[in-house]
Amino acid sequence: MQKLKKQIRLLMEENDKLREELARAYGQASENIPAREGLKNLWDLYQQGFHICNVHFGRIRTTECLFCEAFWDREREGGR
Amino acid sequence: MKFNASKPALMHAINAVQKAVSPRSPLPVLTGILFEVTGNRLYLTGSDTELTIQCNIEVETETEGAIVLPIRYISDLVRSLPDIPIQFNSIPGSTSVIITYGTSQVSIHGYEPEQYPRLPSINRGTGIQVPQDELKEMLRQVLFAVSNDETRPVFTGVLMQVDGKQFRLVATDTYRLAMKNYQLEEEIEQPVRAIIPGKTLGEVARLTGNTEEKISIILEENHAFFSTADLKIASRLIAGQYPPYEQVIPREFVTRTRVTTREIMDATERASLLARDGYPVVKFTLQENSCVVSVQTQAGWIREEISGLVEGEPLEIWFNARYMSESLRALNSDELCLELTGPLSAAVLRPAGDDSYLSLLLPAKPPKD
Repeated sequence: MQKLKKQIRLLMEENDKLREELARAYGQASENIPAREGLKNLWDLYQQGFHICNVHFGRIRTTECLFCEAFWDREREGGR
Repeated sequence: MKFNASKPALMHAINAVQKAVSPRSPLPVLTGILFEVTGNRLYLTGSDTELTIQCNIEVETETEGAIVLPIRYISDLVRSLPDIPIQFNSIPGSTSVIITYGTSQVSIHGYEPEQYPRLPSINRGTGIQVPQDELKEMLRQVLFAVSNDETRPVFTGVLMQVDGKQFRLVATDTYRLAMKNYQLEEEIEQPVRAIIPGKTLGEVARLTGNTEEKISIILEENHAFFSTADLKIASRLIAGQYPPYEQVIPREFVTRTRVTTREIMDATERASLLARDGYPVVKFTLQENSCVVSVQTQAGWIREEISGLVEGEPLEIWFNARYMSESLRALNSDELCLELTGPLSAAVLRPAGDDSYLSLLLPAKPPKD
């Protein structure tokens, strides 16, 4: 049980690091590409089943998410 | 320790504290309830170290003292005793107790009371008082939206926020959100926010009465305390930042409707009977002066038209029937005000004419044919 818990903790830590790297990669990418393209990338990520909100960015999304929807609505309104 | 108590009083106290006890705790003493007699009161305490519940009842005391008795035996045993006076007598120099009822006796082995965790002491925190029945209803209105996903601890709790005279509870599992405001009689100087485990608040809701008597709530840096005359609940807070929930609440709407809550709840539940297994979604069509609740699957179809006031654009939207029913049940109003910004955006449900409560629910995707 202890071993299993340790493995879960290590995997969660690794996941967190990967998520941070993903967020950084998106941040860097959005600096180098036009804003619309950055949004498209985010939209693709969202459609592929990942969170794009700052609450769970990069985590697998099993259902719709109020925070992703709100983020997306703000971006859409900002783009108009 | 020696005292006499009635069975109903003992059962009341055991039932109150037992939810905080984990019968499978790796620490043996935590599998028990602490019995502690002081003056003419028996204090029963249950704790898993995160949540501690203490209930006190009146007893006839012969000798003060304390012992921890395993919940596995004491709970079922007291329940099965006849309704006659019951005497508890701990054997000096041991951790056993003899329970006498009529001419019969039973002995149970327990643990040293010194090993049992005590209620955390209250240092300095923000304190408020709320009528028990109001708090109970407030909790009922938000607890359904708490997440049970332990990998995201913040969402397994309820945000308790006190600012001036406003006392607010917020819960979200990121798919739905519930928010309830209450106006306090007294103003609080320092605004305070705390995330309290849903499990704790479930117990608070279960144990508080339908009475206007007040419950005292104290929020400290790491703990929350709830207390009434015969009950004390202490809970560790959930660490972390609650996300900025205000920004997910839509402010502008394209369609608003006002319908009878009971009618739409019954229609939703009937329609869900025909919904697809594993994907219980129901279609809501808002049109002039009515809301149509419908489902069409391989099993058959159902269509119910509920008359109501509809303002704005006609709209078709799908909701998970179970989530919609839970949101409607929490509304506590005869009339529902449903506000929508589009078929893919969160719907806002409010009790008509009451701004103190709202819940959000994300639409579901239409089922694929």
